[in-house]
Amino acid sequence: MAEGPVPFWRRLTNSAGLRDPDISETATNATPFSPPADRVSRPAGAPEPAETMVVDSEALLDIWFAREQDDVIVWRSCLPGASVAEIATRLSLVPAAFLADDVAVLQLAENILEIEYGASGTTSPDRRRQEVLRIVDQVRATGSGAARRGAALVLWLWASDDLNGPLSVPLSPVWHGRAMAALSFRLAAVVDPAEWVRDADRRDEAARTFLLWSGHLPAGEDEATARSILAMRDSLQQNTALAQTMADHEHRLQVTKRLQEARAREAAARYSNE
Amino acid sequence: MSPVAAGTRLTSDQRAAWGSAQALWGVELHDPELAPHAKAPSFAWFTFPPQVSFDLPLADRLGVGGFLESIFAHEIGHHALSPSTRLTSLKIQHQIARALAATDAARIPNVQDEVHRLSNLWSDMLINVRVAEAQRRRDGPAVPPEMVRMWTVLGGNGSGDTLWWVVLRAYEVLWGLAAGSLCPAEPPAAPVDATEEKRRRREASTTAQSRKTVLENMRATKSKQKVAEREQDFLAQDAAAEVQREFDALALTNPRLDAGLLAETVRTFGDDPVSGALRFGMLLAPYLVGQEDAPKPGAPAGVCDGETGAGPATAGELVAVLGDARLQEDPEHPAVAKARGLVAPSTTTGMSDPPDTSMGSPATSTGQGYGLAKTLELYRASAANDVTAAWYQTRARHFVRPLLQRSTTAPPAGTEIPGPLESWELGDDLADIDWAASMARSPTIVPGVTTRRREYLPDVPPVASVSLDLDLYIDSSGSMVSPARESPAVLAGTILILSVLRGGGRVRVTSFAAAGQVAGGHRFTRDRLEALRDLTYYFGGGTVFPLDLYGSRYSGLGRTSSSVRRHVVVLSDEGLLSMFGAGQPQYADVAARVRRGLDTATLILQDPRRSITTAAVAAGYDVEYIERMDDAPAACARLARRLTESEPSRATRTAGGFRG
Repeated sequence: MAEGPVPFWRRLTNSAGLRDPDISETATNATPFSPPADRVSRPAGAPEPAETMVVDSEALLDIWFAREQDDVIVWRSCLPGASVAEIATRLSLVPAAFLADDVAVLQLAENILEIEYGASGTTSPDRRRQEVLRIVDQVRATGSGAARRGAALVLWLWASDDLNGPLSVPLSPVWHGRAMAALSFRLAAVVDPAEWVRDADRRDEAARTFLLWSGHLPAGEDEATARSILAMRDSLQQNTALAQTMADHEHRLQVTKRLQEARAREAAARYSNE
Repeated sequence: MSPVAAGTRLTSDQRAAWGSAQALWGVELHDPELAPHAKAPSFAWFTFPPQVSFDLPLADRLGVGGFLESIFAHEIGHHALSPSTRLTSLKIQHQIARALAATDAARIPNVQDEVHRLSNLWSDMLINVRVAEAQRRRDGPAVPPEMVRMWTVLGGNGSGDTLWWVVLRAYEVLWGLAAGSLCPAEPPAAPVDATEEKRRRREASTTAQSRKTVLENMRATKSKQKVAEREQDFLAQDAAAEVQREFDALALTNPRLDAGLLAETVRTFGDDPVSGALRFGMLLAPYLVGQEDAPKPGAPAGVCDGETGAGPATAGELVAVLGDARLQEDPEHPAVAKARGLVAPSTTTGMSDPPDTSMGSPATSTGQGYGLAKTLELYRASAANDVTAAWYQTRARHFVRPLLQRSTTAPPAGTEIPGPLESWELGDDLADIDWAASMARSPTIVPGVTTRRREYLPDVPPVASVSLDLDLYIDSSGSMVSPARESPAVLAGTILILSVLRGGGRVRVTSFAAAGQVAGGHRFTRDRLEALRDLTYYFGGGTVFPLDLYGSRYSGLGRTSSSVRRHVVVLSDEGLLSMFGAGQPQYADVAARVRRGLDTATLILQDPRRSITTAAVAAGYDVEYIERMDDAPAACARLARRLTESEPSRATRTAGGFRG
């Protein structure tokens, strides 16, 4: 009994700024979404390093595209994984404290990765751990709240086994870095992670994105189906298309105005001739 | 394939499928009508009152005869979900028509056919998604629902139409199918309209030739300045044509995006077909623009034919349809609405530029309002007068208040309210002592010293209001805006009529134009439709106020009294000078004489020059001026105030003075 959630939380709360566990308060039922400062205690340990700069969504996307990930190859190499519903359920169960504004995401990652990769100190896990920590530090350095919350949600997905039991198909720690980058830089840039928890469609998108970049196909779906569904959910593609539509619409308004002016000039010229 | 008898009775397989289809919807219906080899465009259709019909041999030929449950469930869905009633069906069609009008109705061929087609398609989508969901819930996720399997066959019948690609792709999204399951993974390429280009070149060549001839002739006969002006005219025409071509080339279509938005619309408006129909129409209407010469592949073979044999909308139905608030929503393409929504939140998070307020402005909409002319066109099968009356009722509805006048009834006698306490003196009636108040003053009763009595005061009753009779005259001469073209006078009349009727009163409406052109009933009525029919009757001739009729109606009635009250309103324009004798001198004094027998008399005029004022005031008439539709409600409100506040004639007033 004593090995329940408390040790897990005790390890997480160490210097990460997470308050004491209240599993019943999830981000879904906590309102407002971003917990106010008085609900979260300040971290007892070292504060976040100061060299942060707030960047916009374009800058986050630049960081993602600089990684030059080829999604075609990623799709081809995907293996059957957990179902979308499993991941989506985990997302909706994220404790509100995880997404607090002043959680030190780097310390949180260190704590969770220690659980994930173990403290064995063997070379390969340590290298992957360092890679993830490097990405999380990059997240922290951007100063973007969305990226930080996105990273915290990914950390929650990895850490939630302790509280919610293992996934039907375990995630491979090999692709943790890639998944962290995809959700923090690509998805969080276009959809606030608050929406991943609140909105069913966006939760589905986040779960599918997480599975893809973790190297898994959703359970019960083949590559074509999974690709097709994610393509329809993809907020980045959709936002681009919507922006184009909006530009077209505004152009249409301008042309309409010009057309009215041209018709008025034509009528005036005809009138002066009669 | 299931055995399908070419008879008109259900076989056992068909009956089982019919039963399970009803169970999916939780309804019990009488047997469907089987119409084998009906030569209808589809193997299934429905009618109101609820009846569904099937040509099952045709379904067999199209390869979907084995999906009887889904075929039956689909048609049942038209009665259980969408449109479900004839009124909803009319509302959906109205919404689609609004969407086509807002998109570019002038460039959409066969608008009426498209309204019917898209309305049915919208209902089909809602039903198919609901049926597939019910089948999945019943059968479990192991196998695709039968509806999905049927559409795999129907979708394969192919059409090559981009609109249909969007619909089928939306089904894929809704049913979680891989791209390419129901339609090609890529949308069809946009057609190159070579014929249109050729026609345009030919037209340009003809125009140039004709202009050359005109200018040569002018140079021979007219001054240089005239020739230069004509050249300017041609240049302006060319400029306008060029912008028009640019405008025509713009189309708000993005098949991939639209398919996703369509799926969202179906999911969001599954229970509200009327609201969703507008968005559906806005999404698909751009695919119909400029398709005059393009081949029309249409829907895949075998898609439900929708409602057949529908009669025109009745007057009552028109009022119910046009009065639905959902039909007032501004049409906007869902992609534009969503893009605008994306701009707003992102600006609040401090991640983008400050909000551009112009983006949210309704002024950015290219959509046109759906006015009376378009409404008349949409319901052209219905009586024009009914459509017009319903349209004005809808516009007037927000301004209708019960219109009442002050009651002449005396307050009921003996009504009193308790007043202050007074001393009870010796000699007052013993029964008047207020014992409780007296004991409260002193437990020792000393008559005339400690005794109290309660004073009672007469109650002043509130001003009672009663209904009124309104005699309304409307000018329907050619100078007045026709009711079919959104007339402020008719709107004002509608507000007045509905307000009087709402207050329990009666109206008499007379439409007049030239001499001898008079329409309307002779008696006061509470029949709304009759009154509005008279109000919207339009002659279009000259203007001669029917003073002979006016005089005869009030001849010999005497002055008004506490029990008989009269109110007249005339809706007209500057042509109403005829009411004061212009053009009919023999009746010059009628208006003034009639006025003496009325409680209130008001002229509501569209008269920018205010030419009637002097004559009207001299004859004792109040005047209200209206110019636009928006002026009508305020004018009616002022008139209502006058009617409400007008004092009834007292019994002491000398009767007579006007004898006609």
